[in-house]
Amino acid sequence: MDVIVAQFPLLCAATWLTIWMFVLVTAISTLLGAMLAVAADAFGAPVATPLAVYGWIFRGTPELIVLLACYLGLPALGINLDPVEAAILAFTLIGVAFQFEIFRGGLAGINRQQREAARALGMAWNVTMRRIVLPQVFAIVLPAWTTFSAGFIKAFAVASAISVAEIMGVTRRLMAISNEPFVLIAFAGAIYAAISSVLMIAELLTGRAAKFGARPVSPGKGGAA
Amino acid sequence: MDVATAVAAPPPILEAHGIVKTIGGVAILRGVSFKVEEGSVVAIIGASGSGKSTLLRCLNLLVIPDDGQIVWRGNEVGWTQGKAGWVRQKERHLLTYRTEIGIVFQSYNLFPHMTAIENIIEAPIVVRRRPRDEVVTEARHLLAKVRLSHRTDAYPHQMSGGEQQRVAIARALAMRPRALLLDEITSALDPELKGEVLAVVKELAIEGMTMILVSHEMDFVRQVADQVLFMANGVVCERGRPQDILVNPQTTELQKFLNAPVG
Repeated sequence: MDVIVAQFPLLCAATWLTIWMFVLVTAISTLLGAMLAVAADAFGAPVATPLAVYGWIFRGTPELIVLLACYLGLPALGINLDPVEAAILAFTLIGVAFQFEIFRGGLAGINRQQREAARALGMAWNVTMRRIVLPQVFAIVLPAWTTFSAGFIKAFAVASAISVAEIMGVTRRLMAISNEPFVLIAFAGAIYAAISSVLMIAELLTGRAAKFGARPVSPGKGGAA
Repeated sequence: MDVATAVAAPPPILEAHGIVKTIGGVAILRGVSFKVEEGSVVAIIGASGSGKSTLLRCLNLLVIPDDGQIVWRGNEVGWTQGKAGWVRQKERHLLTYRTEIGIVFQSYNLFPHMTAIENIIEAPIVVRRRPRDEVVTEARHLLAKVRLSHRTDAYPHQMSGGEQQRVAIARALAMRPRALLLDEITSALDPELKGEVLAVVKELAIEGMTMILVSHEMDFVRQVADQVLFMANGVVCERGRPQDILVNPQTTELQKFLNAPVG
């Protein structure tokens, strides 16, 4: 345990770097993914098709390849990013691809008749989206969003490959100079697990509140009167 | 309406002239025309696939007809005078028209993330921009009218189909429409739940609400309708007062339809 105590400031800094990269990437990719899904829904094939191709590429490519492309490939185009910038770009590209699919699925899960009912009440497209469709979409996508995001934190360990000083990177460096590799690995694993646990617990708490939206309005047979 | 009083009658609130709609290469409506007097009830009957629901959606322009005119209180809707002649109005111009003519759907289509009263107050507040307090008070009256005061804060999935449909009627009424379209509003309900919904519609008819309804409930149509349109193959095949055409159908199509086993 000596190595953990001795290197505590370094490990703290690494944990902090991982957390803020993760929060930033998750925030941007959720926002962008949701907006692109709404755009694909609104404009149809001309927007949806290119986005589907984009999603197919970035969901099907290993994180390491995207990461190396951003760090080592982009300089060929005259774009030089430092390791942290390259990691944020790479994970955002991947995150947007997944979030787009998550929100596209959520929008598809809303009955078309909901929009018809809103139009019939005189609601414009933007009002229908904001008041009727998106609140229901958020309730629907919550489990998929949490599952993906909680799992996505693990991908950030790959950033150590381009010398980003996140948890895995620092752990590998310390393992080289320490004779307690198992303690270091267990500690790093615990931090990743802790971050994803926060998301999973948050889903349990908010999921309960959002449950009414996940239940469809069943036509026909009467429910509990 | 009797012939004797027709002379003094005001102009119709809604007129449809030669409505044509083709969807996916199938001619759903092939020239439908009729007039609706203010305060009257028009019932549209006909077999499944005869175009009844599409016609109803054309009337409030949820579905845009390919041809024909909809005249609402003397003005043609859906078109506007452009530089190079008449052009179709954009969706945002149609929204105002739709608030004047409410619709209730077969599958209720309540917003599942909102309680009964939230469903009712939503559009008056966000579309009409009326003050919330006033709208809430009115919504409570509407809930009482459809006998659902005890379900004010219930979510749709907590209510029976009949209760959901009555909330849907209250939601449409909250926009203070001048006419109401009812699209097979009891078709998805068990027999014991139909009665409570139909009772509400009968009350509206007595109060003088103009209604255009699609229904398979012939007894109900007989009781509330002033005019019945029988549709077949995308046209109005026969029309008249219920006591005439439902008793003495002239066309073989309507005879067949009325003799067909219900179910």
